[in-house]
Amino acid sequence: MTTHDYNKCVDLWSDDVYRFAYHCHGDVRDCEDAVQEAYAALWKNRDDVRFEKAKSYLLSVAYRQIMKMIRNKMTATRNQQQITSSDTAYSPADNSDLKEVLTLAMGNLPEIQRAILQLRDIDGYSYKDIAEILKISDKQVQVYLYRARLNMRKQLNDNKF
Amino acid sequence: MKITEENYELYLFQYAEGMLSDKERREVEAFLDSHPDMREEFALYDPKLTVAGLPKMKYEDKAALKHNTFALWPVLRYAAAVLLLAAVVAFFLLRNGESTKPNTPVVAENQIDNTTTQPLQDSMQDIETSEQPQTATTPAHQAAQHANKQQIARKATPISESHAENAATPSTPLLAETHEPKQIIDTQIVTKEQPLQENTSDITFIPDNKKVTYTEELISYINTPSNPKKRSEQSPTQFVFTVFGDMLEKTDIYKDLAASVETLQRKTRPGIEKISAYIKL
Repeated sequence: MTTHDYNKCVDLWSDDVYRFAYHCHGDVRDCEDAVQEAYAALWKNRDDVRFEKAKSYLLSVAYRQIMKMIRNKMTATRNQQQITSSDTAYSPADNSDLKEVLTLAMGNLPEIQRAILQLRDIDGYSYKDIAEILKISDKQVQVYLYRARLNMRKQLNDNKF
Repeated sequence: MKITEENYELYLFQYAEGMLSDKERREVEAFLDSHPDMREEFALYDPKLTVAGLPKMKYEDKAALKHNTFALWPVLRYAAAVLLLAAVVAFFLLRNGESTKPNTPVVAENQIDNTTTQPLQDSMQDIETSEQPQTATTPAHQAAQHANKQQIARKATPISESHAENAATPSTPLLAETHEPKQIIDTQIVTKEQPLQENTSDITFIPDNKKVTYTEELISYINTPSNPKKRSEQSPTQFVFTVFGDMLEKTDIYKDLAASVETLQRKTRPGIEKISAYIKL
């Protein structure tokens, strides 16, 4: 991958990587760090990563970085507190907005389920690609996706969204 | 397949996504019939629930992630590679040049050999006045030339002095009964490894009273300058015929001797050695 290709990856996918990290974690600074780590890794391994696989590589690195941050920083309870705090993106300003409701509901999912939901619904990756990015099996992807959607529906029903 | 409470989520997901065959679908339905709690849970599953509508986000600081298209490091790498290649080429060129330098002393050595067949003073003058660009430009040649001059200077020692030195040595030169030829032989062919004075008694086809004369003529012929204008008009073959032709009954010896004289005129050491060997005969 040339420097030109790398810069093209920044233009094309830095927003997607940032969004992915953000919905997996929710902390703006950590997500920015995750994006920077992902692109630093891509630059370092640009000779080995093909342009076509660059986005998957970026998402994979960002996900691992996010998981590392989460393990190091917080428990599930603290994560919940961050999500509901006023300075986080998961705090919807207006619950009437369905997108923000979905964002809030997704914030309560485990990180792996959030990641799979994004990769499947937003980025449109196949189960195989998601498995490759998250380093899990295809069947695990399907099981986590089943649980994620089930949890989302339960939250929406419980909160009468 | 066998649906259990451990793996039912996978099959329910595939059932909802339409990934199962009819047979498998029937198995899943049978499993749900036997597990009402799981059917109740499965009723909440909404395959159409998607988060695709989540708001898009923008990473602002893209410029900080980018790298300059013109990177200095690759340029430096190529420059270093070119310099290294040039250095290697220069090294081998210089090495080849040094390997060819010994040719210069060879030229000088040939000139020294010339002095063995030419008047010594003339040789000295020729070397000093000769203008050969390839030998006058390099310091190595200058050193070789200096060495040549020293060697020639040693050879240019007055004949009487050289003869005195040789006379003091146990190895007495050839044809001891006459002084002049012996002096010439000493100064011209004395450098040969095989002494010339040995086996003089074996000479059978040259009368004793003519040995000195023939030797003088032979050496005189050899000593003629290499300049064609100054060289004797006789060819080596003619010369050998003139001097020895009436005595050399063996044709092969005659031809060999003529060839040796000719070779000697080309200033090659084998020629000198050969003619020396014939003189001993």
